[in-house]
Amino acid sequence: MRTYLLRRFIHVIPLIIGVSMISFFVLNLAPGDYVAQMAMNPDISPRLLAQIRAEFGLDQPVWVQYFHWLGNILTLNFGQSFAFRIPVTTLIGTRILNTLILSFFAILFSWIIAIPLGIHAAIFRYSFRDNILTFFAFFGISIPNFFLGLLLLYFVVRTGFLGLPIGGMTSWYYDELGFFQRMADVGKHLVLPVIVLGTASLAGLMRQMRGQMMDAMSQDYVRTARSKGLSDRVVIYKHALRNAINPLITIFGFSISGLLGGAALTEIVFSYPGLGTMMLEAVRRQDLHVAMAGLLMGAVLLIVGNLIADILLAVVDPRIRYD
Amino acid sequence: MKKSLILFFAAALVLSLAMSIAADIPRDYYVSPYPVGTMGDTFLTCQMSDPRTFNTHIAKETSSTDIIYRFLYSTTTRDPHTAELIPHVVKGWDFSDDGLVWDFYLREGATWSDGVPITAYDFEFNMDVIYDETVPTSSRDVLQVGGEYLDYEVVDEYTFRIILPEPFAPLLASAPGPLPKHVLYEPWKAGDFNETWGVNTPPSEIVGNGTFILGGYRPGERVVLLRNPNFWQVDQEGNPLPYMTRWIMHIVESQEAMMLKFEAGETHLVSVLPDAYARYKMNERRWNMTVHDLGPAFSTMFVVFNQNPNAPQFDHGDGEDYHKFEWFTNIHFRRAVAHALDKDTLIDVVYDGLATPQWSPVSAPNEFFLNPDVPKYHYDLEQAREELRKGGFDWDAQGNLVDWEGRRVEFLMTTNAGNAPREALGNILQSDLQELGMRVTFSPMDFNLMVGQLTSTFDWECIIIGLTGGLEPNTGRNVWHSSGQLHMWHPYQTEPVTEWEARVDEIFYEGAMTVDQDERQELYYEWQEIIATELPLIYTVTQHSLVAVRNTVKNIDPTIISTYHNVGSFHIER
Repeated sequence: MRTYLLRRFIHVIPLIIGVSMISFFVLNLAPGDYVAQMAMNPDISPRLLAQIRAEFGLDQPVWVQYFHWLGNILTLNFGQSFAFRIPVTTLIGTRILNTLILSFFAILFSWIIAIPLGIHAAIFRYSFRDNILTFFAFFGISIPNFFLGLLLLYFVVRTGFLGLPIGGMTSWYYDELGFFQRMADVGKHLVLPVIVLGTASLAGLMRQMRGQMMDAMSQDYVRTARSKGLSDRVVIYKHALRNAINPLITIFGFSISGLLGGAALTEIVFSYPGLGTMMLEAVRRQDLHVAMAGLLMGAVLLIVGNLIADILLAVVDPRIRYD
Repeated sequence: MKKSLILFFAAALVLSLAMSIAADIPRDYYVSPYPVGTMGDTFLTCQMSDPRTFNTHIAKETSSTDIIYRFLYSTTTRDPHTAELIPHVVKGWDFSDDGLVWDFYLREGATWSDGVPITAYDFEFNMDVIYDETVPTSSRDVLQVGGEYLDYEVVDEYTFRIILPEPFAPLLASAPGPLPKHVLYEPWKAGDFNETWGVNTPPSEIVGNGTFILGGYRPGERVVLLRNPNFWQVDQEGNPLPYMTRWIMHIVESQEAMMLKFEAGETHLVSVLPDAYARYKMNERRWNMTVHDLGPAFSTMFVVFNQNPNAPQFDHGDGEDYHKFEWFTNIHFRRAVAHALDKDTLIDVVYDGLATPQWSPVSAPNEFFLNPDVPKYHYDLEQAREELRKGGFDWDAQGNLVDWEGRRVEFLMTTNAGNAPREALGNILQSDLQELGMRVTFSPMDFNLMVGQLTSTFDWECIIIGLTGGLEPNTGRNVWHSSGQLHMWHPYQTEPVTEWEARVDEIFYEGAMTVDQDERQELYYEWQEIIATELPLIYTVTQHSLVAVRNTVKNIDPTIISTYHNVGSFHIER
C-alpha cells in the first residue's frame, strides 16, 4: 500500500505541472487582460494603463509570465491578486472555510437522503412509492440550481417561512452573539443553499443507488443467500449493498473535487461569501493569479478525491488490492 | 414699549441659549439644514460587489469608491439639487484675479476620526502622493495643465494654496482632498503606499474624515461602517452628526436578490429595476415605503461607426472594405441611422417607459451644461430614406440599399454580450435598418474582445456601447479631443482630420482655460451642437434611476446627484 501511495504521489507532479501550463495558456488566450477592462474609463490614460500593466508583468511574453509564476509556486508563493493587491493565499483564506462548510453540509444532506431512498426504491421497484421517488428525482435533476434558489427565496419572502434569512451567511448582528447563537445563526443561513445544492446531486445519486442495487438484487449470490433462509435485512445490507456500493464510492471521490468550486451560481443567488463567486469573478476579470490558484486547487482536489475513492474501494471490497 | 421689552429679553435669552450650546462646537463646523433627529440606529443597504481596496488612489471601480467616499471626503462636493460645486472639507476658497492662485480655507477644529486635526499639510501630502509616479492614480492625469504639474504650498495650518501655470476651470471639480499624513506618510516613504489600506487592513488602522468610518469587513458578506465620533458636522441644535450608529452594507451580487432582501424587510433602501417599478408602486403602503423616480441617470448608450482610416480593413484606401469607410464617414448615412433609431419602442420594451431620449453628449442631470436645443432626429424611416438619397445611396430592384457604385450596404454591428439593453437596442435597430434595405449582422461579443477592437486593433464596423457621464464636461476630454484614446470613431489623431473636430479640440482647450461659468456654458453648448450635427456618436436613451426607501427612514432626500448627500442626518423613526 505504501509503495502504491508513493507511486501515485510521484505521478501527480507532472500532472499538476501539465494542468497548470494548459490553464495558464488558455487563460491568456482570452482576449485582453486584467488591465484592458479599465480602457473604457475616460479617467484612465493609456500611460497609466501601461504603468499598471508593467507593474503586474503583463507586458512580458506569456511564457516568461508562466515560468515566473511557476518559480513562485515552487516556493509556495501564489502571487498577488491584481484586483485586490493582496496575496492570493490571504484572499482565498478569507473564504475557503465558508465554502467548505456549505459543501460539506450539502454533500452530507444529499448522501444521507439519497442512499437509503435509492435502496428503498430498489427493493420496492415499480411500486407507487418508487414512481413518486423517480418523479422527484427527475424534477431535481431538471431544475437549474439558480432557479430553484430564486424560487425558494421568493417563497420565503412571501410566507416568512421559519423566519429564514434572504441570503448571506451571518446576520449583521452576528458579532454580538454568543457561541451557540452564532452556530444557530449560520445554520439558519445554510438551510436554503444546502437544500438547493443538495437536491441537485441527490436525485442523481438516488438513481445510481437504485440501479446498482437492482442489479445486485438479481444476482445469483442474492438468490443463494435467500435460499439459505437468511433474513431480508441481512440479504439486503450484507450481501447486496456491499456489492452495489462500489461505483458510488468512485462518485464520492469525484464529489470531493467539487467541494471548493462547485457552488458558484448557488453562492451568487444566496449572496453566500464562498470561493465560487470569487473564482468566477477572477476568471471573468482575468485576475490571473487568483484564477490560476482556483484551477490548481480544483486539480489537486480531483486527484486527492480519486485517491481517497481508490483507498476506500480497497477498504470496502476485499477483492481489490493495490500491492 | 412693554411688549417690545419682553420680546427683547426673550430674544436675548434664546440667543444666549443658542450661544451656550454653540460654545463648544468649533465655529467652522458645517450645520446641517435638515430637521433634528434621534441617535443610535442602524442603517441597512446593499451593494453589488466587494470592495477591492480601501486606498483611494488604488481604487478603480465603484465597488471600492462607494465605500471609500463614505469615510474619506474631498475638498468640494456637489449641491444635491443644483449640482453646483460647494465646499465640503474646506469651508471656502478664493482665487486671484488672473485665476492662477487658489487659496483653500480649512475648517478650524475639524479633525480626523482619530482626533488629529486636519491641516493644510494633509492636503500637501495628498498632492505629493498624486505626483509620485510609482502610485497608479488617475488623479495625476487630471491634475495637469498642458502637461505640467501644478504648484502647491502650505500657507498656514488652515490655508492650502494651489498655483496654476495657466487658468484651469476643472480645478474645483477635481481638487484633491486631504489624506491623513500622520497615518500614511510612513508607508508612503517606505514605498509601500500601493499595498496600504488593502481589504486585509484591520479597520481600526484606517482613519477618515467622512460621516462614517470603517468598522469591519467580512468578504462577500458585508461592510460595516461606524459613526465617526469626530465628524465636523452638527445639526441645528448643535448635536454632533451622524445620528446613525452603524451603516451595514450587505454585499449581494444580483439585483433580484437585493430586491428580495428589501421586500423581506432586511434593508432600508434598494434601487429598483424598471420592470419592477409598477409592482413596487402598488405595494408602497403594504411594504411601508416610497419609490422615487429620480429621472434620467448619468450613464449613456450610443451607436458608433468606425471612421478610422488606419483601421486594417480600410487601410487608407487599400483595405478591402474601404467603401464602408466612405459610407461611415458620410454624414447623411449617419443621420439616416439616427432617424431609424426607434427610441420610443426601446423605452417601452426595455425600460417599461422609465427612460428618456438623449440627444446630446451631456447627461440629463447636468442641467447647467445641457444644451436643450441641439438638432434632434426623431424616428422617421421616410426621412431616413431621404437622407440616404442625399448621401448618394439608392435601392436596387429587390429593395436592397446600394451605394453609388452599386455595392450592397451591409455591415457588422456588435455590443458586449450579456448587456440586455444594448442587445435589445441592437435587435430593434437591426430590424429598422433592414426596413431601409441594409443588411445588418448583429452579433454581440465578449466585452474584452470588443474593447480590444475599439481601442487597439480597430477592426470593427459598428458598435453599441456606453460611457458613464459626469458633471464636469472636461472629464470627457479623452473622448472628445481628437487625440484621445476614447475618441472611438477615430482615436489618436495627430492633427484633427475634420474641421468640426478641430473646433471641438479648440472648445475643450478654451473650456478648460475659461473660469467664467457662463462663458464655459456657451462653449460647451456649441460643442453639443456640433456633435448632434455631425453624429460621431448617435445617442439613444437614458434609463431612469429608481430607488425605494422605507418610510421609517427620516430626512432622506434622494436626488439624481446623490442619494446619501445628507446621510449624517438620516435617522430611523421608531
